[in-house]
Amino acid sequence: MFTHRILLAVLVSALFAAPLFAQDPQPATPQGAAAPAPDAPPPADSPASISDAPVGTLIAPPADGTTAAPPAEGEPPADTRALDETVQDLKKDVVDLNKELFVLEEELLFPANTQVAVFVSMDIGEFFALDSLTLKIDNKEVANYLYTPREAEALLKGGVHRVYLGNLKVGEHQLVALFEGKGPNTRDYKRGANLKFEKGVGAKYLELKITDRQRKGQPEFAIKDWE
Amino acid sequence: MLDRNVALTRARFAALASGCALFLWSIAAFAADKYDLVGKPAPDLVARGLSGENVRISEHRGEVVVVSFWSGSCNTCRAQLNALDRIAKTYASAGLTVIGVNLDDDQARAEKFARAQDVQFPLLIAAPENTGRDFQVDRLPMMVFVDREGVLRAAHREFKASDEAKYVRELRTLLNE
Repeated sequence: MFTHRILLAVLVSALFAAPLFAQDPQPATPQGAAAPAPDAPPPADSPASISDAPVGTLIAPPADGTTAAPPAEGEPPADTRALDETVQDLKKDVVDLNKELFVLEEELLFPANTQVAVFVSMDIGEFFALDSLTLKIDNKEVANYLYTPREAEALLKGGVHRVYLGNLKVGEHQLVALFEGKGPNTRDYKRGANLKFEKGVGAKYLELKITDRQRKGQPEFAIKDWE
Repeated sequence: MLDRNVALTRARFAALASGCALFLWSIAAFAADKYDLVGKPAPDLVARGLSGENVRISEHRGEVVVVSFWSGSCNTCRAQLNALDRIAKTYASAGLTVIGVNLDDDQARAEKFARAQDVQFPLLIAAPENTGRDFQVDRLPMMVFVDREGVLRAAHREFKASDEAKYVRELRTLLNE
């Protein structure tokens, strides 16, 4: 007898809990209720608003036949073009605003007096295929970047990649760059380069340059300070 | 009579406790099923593939991308990778890309597992540590569908072979957009 009651209690709990297991629970719509469009306004001449009507009541359309006739098929409404232009203008405004915000954000986060940026560029790339780069400033890892073949190709075509943007206080600092990739004869190749630089009051730009040293048949890694 | 009342109270208490426990468990299960990333831009991910090349998800913008998270110690993962390989072969020309991402700590085991799979799409081995957290991976295998705009559109946190037609239907919808 008691066991039956326990089982009943568990079953009742399970019934209450069952809807919670559904991944995308849908709100139950009472049968026979009209499904209004989310943004559709109620008919102007309806005696009471839709929200006042009891659940399950069908909302009747206006009976005086004043509803606008739907536009002919394939013929857009007259104001569609104006609306489209407005939307395009709005899109342009959003893009412009986004650009301004981006510049503002960068100015705020990385003010010119503390800003340090490190760029990567590559020469011919005959002796080295860049795979990854690790940057350390003052013995602290600040960037680790894996290059995909497409990115490496873009560098070979003259692209310059900003691998790090950060803040440093005025004074002397040390930058260490560790390059990994495939060297001559497609062998795994790992090299490092370092530079001690003086950070002044203005922004500091450093360039990691990977060039081919034809005479030795080896790649060369250098860090260039852009004054 | 008194014994019977005590027994009855105990039984009622036990029933109430089990009901509460079941309710709490169901709430926890519901919370675990919640996946917040659907409809948001997919997190970026770059990792080294089995072939040695690095693969970045954001480079596949304009394509429908399936990211499959797997582990070397999971048998269902094998079934998911094989199913995705079949789907990828059929829909690659329509712009479908499949990327498998391993989330094992043991890279050697993951690599051994990956090499045993006969799949054409890239299997990434050394994914960054934050990958599981970024994609909210809480069980394996798991796969997410990313549309051509880079928005994460669906997440399947378990794999059922019988649901393959459903996955294909969802992917076809994304490919047709």
